[in-house]
Amino acid sequence: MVAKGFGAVQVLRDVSLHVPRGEFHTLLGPSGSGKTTLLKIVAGFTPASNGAVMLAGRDITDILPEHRNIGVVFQHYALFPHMTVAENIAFGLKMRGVARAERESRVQEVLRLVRMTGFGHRRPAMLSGGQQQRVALARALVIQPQLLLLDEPLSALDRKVRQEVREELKRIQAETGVTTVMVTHDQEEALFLADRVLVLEAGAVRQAGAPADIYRNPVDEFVAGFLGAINLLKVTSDGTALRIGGQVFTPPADLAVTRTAGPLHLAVRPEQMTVAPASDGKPPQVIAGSLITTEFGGPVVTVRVDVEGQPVSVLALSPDILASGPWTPGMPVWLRIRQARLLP
Amino acid sequence: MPRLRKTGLRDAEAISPAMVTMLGLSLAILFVPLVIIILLSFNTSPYGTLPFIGTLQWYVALFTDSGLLGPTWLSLELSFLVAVSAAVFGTMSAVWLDRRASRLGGMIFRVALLSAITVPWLILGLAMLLVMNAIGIGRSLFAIYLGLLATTLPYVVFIVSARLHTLDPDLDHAARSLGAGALTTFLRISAPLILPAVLSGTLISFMISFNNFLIQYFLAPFGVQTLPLKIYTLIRVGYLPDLNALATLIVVVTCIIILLLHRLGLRNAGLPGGSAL
Repeated sequence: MVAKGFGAVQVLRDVSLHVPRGEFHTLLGPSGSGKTTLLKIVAGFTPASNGAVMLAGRDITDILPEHRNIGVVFQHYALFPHMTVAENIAFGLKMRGVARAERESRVQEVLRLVRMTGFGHRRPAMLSGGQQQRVALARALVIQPQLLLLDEPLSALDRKVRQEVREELKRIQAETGVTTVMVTHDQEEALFLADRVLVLEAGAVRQAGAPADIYRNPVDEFVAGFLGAINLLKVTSDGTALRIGGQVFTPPADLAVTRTAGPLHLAVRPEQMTVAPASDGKPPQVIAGSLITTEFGGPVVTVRVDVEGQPVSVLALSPDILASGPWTPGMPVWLRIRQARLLP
Repeated sequence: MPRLRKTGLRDAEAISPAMVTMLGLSLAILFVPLVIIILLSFNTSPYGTLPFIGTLQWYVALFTDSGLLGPTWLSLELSFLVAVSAAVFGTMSAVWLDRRASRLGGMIFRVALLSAITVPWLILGLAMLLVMNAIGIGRSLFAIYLGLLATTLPYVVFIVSARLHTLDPDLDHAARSLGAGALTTFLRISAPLILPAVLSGTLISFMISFNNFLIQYFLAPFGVQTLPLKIYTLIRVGYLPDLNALATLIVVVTCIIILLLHRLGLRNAGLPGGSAL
């Protein structure tokens, strides 16, 4: 558990992070949430105001960064521009006094791991962003660190390259089994890569858990919204059924509904709902609404529906929507909820 | 071939005749006097008059009995010493300024250096003489050395700290995480990256020291003559054509130094005019 203050500003508030050996954890949060500060405390670039950092049972709180044996990959690669790729990677080995022959073979080995064999003699400036980040990864891994820290490693890359490097990162982490902590503000990255995600906001952990778990069961509006698009419908509860505006409907079976006096929010992901044109005899689990518009987005279509004055987005595969049409704005439609969560 | 349409629009990247004329004039103001001096150094007439009859007699005179060589060597040695000292102390100050200085301390230091650049050398020289006398150093070679060092130091600090400022702080972090201590990180990572700026500062310090008449005039003891002081005394009693020969040699040596720096791969090192090479 650590805390960090800059002057009067408390950047981190009693954040606790525990990463079991071999796992990939992600610190996810908006800018200013303190995630990078936390990473710097772990790496030793900035001291913690109080608390302790333990690595494999050793207290490293007051250990200099060069004695921590932690590999770090930076957002803007931070490759040494005056050294070749091979020299960059060999730097950490040189500092550890590894003999020349072994250095060379280990550099070749790690270049193979990141699929950059044959680039050893190049300068970083001659490489693309994606290649530079692979080299940076190789440089951090070759010292066989006990912990690998990734500080927004993909955010300086183009969209397409980002996906490519992301998959590489997952493969390499699985192959090497290195314990990894990544900082990111991109929820897609976090969900794709991590075994466990910690959502940070204003220097405190809002929620921690497996990606699918926190995505499906966010604890509050912030986490729900930060992890992806979500509909928040104002509803009231009578203990068994929910009421939205003038309609009463039966919630999905796995949703625990308790009697509450005040208004609640029903949090539903757009892809956790289906939409169909209305017909006769409304079943109790269906919510009726009227179509606002359909937005074609290639493989998926976003259907916007008005339910008792509240806008709702539904995400569906485009063949399904095309098959069940035609859709005209203003027409009555039925919504079915597959999975949802009640938030206060 | 269709006729070009006449339009008031101009290609923003086109080179206008006015710009070419301005460029030509600027270059002429810079180089015509130099070319004239070089030509005169090979002319027989000691008064710069035509007809042009080629000769090397002024070069012979320069190396035999002009009395210019001694002051030239003194100026070269002094400037070299000042330039190297300014590079060492200037780089140290720049590193402190960029990495360690508090906000207030850094600001005070910067303002102090800036004022050392903006205060006229006339005032600076006079003030230095007063101080040197007060602390007992007086007029001496050592006083000239200190005076020139103080004059050139700010240039090195500003050039090097500008370069340091552009370095990604994560380079240091990366080196530290890979096992390099603070000193090793500086020597292996920062130092090679700021070296071009340090060399550039050294060169500028050398040129300023070599040129600076005022500081040398105020602080030189009787009997000690640097090249600027020697030329000044010579001009007062008449003009020696040997000076043309010396000037030509200095121009040639300067060109050779710049070419050498270029060969060393310092094309983009932030040297003045470096990118034009």
